[in-house]
Amino acid sequence: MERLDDKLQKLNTIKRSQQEKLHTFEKLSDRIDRLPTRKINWQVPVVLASTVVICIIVLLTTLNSPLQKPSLTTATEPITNFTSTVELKRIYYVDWPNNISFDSFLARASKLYLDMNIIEDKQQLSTFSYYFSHLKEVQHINKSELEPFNDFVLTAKDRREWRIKIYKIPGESSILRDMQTNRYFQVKDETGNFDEKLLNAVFVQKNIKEFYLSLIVNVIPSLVFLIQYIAIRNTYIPAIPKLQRKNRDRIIQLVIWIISLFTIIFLALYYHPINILVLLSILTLAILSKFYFDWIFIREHHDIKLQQKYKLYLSIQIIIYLLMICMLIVIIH
Amino acid sequence: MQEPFKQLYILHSDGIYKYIFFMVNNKELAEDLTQETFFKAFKQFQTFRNEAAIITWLKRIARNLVYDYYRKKRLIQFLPLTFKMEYQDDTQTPVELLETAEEMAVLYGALRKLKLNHRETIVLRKIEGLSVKETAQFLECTEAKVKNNTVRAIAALKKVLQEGGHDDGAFR
Repeated sequence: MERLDDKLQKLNTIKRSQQEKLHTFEKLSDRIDRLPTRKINWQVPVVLASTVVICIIVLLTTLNSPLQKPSLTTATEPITNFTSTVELKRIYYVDWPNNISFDSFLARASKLYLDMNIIEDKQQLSTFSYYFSHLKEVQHINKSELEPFNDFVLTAKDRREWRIKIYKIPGESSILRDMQTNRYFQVKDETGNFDEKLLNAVFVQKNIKEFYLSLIVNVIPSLVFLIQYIAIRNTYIPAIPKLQRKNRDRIIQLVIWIISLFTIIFLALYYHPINILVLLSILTLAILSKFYFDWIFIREHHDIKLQQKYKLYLSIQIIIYLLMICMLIVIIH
Repeated sequence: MQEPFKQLYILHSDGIYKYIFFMVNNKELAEDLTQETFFKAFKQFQTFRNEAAIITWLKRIARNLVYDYYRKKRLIQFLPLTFKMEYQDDTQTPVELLETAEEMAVLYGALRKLKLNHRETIVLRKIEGLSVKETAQFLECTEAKVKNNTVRAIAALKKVLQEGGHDDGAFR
């Protein structure tokens, strides 16, 4: 009887089919012949990606500059100086219930505050002008009962401005707080229904910017996925199976998507222009990195013909993304 | 394809194929991975620094592909027992050939039931006949570990053979 070692050694004499060997060689030759002759220069897309991010940052920083610089230099006046002769140019207000705080008065300085609204209707301005000139000071007030409702910045044509915080007390008239002097006022009884006019003014103007923002955030990625689906079906571009991805790709993608998710949640909970900037930058990096890793995969696993198809498909996706950025900026503006 | 690379394929592809075949237990997959090994070798040929023999370098690429395969698929594909006729030993009579083929089938069936590291050790040490030092260099581990693994792998193989009812002395 032969020993186990000898028998194992005999396994090595297993014969490989010469036909299969030849066939494999032909397939190998074919793959090698179809290898791209010139090296893909990845500095180009990386530079493009960086340029997009820098452009977004520059654009948003520019947009985030004060709306009316001269008005900033104007000293804020106490509300007691507001008379019926003051001609209001516009009223800025921050939509309830977002960002009701002293800091929200800074909102007037930026177009990027999506919750920032403007009243420019002459009739409404004149009505408010009448109310703000008929105020009486409230001496005794229980601050714990006050519920913040709106932050108002009244801007006159002569560039003077007044900052008012409006509080609502259930069942009672609104309380106006002059942020300059920190004194509390009420509209005089004989002036009529200030609260009703205020509510009408505030709620008639629905803030549609947030609606478009959510539309973009939801619709555009869906559109990208739809195009991806159609392109993969019609052009026979191979989909990238998740199993074939390298762990490195998966981890980087996961990290990017987690950061994006946190940014979106943060944006929803605490809106600030800088959040849009961060969101767009991270979104750019996430999308471009996805394209990059998909491209690397295609380049490593498929021939030049498929690579060309994929390039076209990739370009369409990049165009969609850039369009999305443009739309977002237009809406914000 | 360049002529030297063609020669490289002709010379070494059988050895690479056998190594992959014993590791993945599937003819078609072994052919595919052999192709992939040489394709990767072609692309990375500039990185080959002659520090190891070219067969070792090729086999290391093949090994990475095999492990990648298992890592990605996370399943073991079993080869149908159709390889009996592929076995060759010209020195044997027809009766001996039949017996040997049967024994080899049993041995192969047992081998594919082993853990991947045990199977690899047996393939390298017993089937390909590498020395302990060569195996250790290829696996990038110590010689002691190779020896230890070999003992364990053989014990595991014997156990599988016994469990399959082949403890009649033919596989001592």
